[in-house]
Amino acid sequence: MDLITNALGLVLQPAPLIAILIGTVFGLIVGALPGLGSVLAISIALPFTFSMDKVSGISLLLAIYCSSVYGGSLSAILINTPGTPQSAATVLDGFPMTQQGKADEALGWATMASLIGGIFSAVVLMFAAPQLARMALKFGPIETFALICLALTCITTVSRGTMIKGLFAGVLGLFLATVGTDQMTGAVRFDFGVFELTGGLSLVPVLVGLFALGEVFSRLAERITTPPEIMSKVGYKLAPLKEWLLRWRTIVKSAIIGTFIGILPGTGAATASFVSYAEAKRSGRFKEKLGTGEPEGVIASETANNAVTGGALVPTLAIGIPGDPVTAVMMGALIMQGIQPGVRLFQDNADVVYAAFVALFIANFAMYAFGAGSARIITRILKLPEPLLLSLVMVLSIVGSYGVSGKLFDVWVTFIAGIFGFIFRYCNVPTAPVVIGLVLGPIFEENLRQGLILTDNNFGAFFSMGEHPIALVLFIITALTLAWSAWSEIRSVRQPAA
Amino acid sequence: MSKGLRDVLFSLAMLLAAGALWLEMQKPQYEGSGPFGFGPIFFPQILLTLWVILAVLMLIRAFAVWREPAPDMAWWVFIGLAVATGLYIYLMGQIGFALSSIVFLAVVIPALGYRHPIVVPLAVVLFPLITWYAFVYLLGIPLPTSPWFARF
Repeated sequence: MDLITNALGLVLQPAPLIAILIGTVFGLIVGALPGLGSVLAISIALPFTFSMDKVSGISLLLAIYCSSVYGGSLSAILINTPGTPQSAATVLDGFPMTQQGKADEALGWATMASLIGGIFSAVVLMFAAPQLARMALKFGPIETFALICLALTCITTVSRGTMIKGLFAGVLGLFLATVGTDQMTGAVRFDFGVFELTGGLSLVPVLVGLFALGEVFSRLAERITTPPEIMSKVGYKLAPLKEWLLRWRTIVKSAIIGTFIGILPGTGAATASFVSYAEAKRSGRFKEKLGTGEPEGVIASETANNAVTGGALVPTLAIGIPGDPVTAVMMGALIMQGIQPGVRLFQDNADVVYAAFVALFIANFAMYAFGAGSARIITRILKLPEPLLLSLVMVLSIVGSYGVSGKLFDVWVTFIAGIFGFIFRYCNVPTAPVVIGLVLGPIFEENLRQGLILTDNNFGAFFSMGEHPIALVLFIITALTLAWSAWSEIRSVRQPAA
Repeated sequence: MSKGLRDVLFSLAMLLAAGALWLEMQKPQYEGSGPFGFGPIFFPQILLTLWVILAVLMLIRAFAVWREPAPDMAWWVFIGLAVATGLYIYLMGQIGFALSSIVFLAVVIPALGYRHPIVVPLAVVLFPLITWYAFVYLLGIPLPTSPWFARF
């Protein structure tokens, strides 16, 4: 209880509250713009957190995370184009409502459903993460190594259909993490005579380049689009309580589905919203009407995708496993703030973690308030021409990477990462595994080497049932996950040919 | 270009990169086994092995999609943007953030096809200035300055 009281004291200060407000507005706008999404929003904002204190920086990112997921529903409902993949299922009933002249009602359902989903998952995060972390405290280097092996298998799930390329990108990320001074021997690795590389590659410039600049290059080179037409009146109208009570089962189920799927590594909000929508289609009160403009469809999708936010943070904070690209970026942000997510997080930085929980609650309410009040303004922004918008994003990405360390070298790293980001997108190589590898690389190597020292260079001892049963279980789950992913991949390759 | 050719080129480029990294690892600075028998390239060597295996698998897989067309891409847009961005970063070091951003936006926005007579000039001038002000005065992050002004 003391922790929560302290956390309230930390967050209810002008700086974190302003950060939440700015993050909410920014996330809402970027989330609503088709194709940009949560990762890009957080990547752009990440460098700004360096000049902030820990709590304000984390509050800013959490607010962006929540509101960008919700923001995707605005364009899904208004222009039949989900701003983020997470809101793809919202299109199915949201846009038909707009066509029927009920855009304001659809936005009302989506906004309230997002709030409910977000709050539910924040409660789960608050109670589940410390329990998981307590269990993980028993982990030594070998168990941690096994855990990271398992975490790395999420690369296969974020790379469905391109598993080999995804694994390659993961290895590339792990390799990039070895650039710079080796912590054990003090030798400088892969600096190629460039002094700035002796300290290693900074995460932010690589991340901003791969995600933000690479995305901009790719979108501008793919096609130039004209702003979409908004088909009906835009506003916000909350349905009467009676209407909500008729659909309460779907709300509860969707919140549970979203939170649970969020906790699973490598699944993400898009999966959650479709699973939840499918469940509503199977068992919802108005299941026959789903797909024709029925609010239950909007509720199912929006409750679930926002419930993922808190769920995804459970493994990220408690055991240091980022479940998806967004949480990988969030984890990177925490590391750069001097906070190492994982087994000791709740011991070493309990005040900051609980402040993050409180910030997540406030961010959800801020998302609701701004979502309800800004529909008209967002609609105007949706009309901005893509060349103008993306040019401004480029300037923000460049200046953001400079702001981290004040070195032009980092801006060049962003530029090169941006070119690689573009090439990767063109070659259908997923970029998220590079970041996952880059974030997990240092602890992966450290624990492998420590484990080998402990076992006197006997890697076989890592799999000892008697000495390391937890590690063995984690290795088995890793092997099964990889086998399942490989089998799914082979099946997906054979199916089109059949 | 077909997807197969694209993937072959990518795989070969990655194999070449692996070769370059292997050559780098042969340098004297990486010699020695380090404490407890693990030298500085112990872990990178494992990764490089995986790198080569996966690059070869990508190469083999490329032949399965040999005839499928790769997505259309306006390469000239990408090359133009990359050159413009590179020059922008270079200019930033020479004439400061605000002025280089104004030049960059003034070139890139119209070149990408948006030429509104009022919005473009406003965006070109106001956006860099507001960003500069936010960084320097609100966030306290100094940005590159020009040789002509102290803070601009």
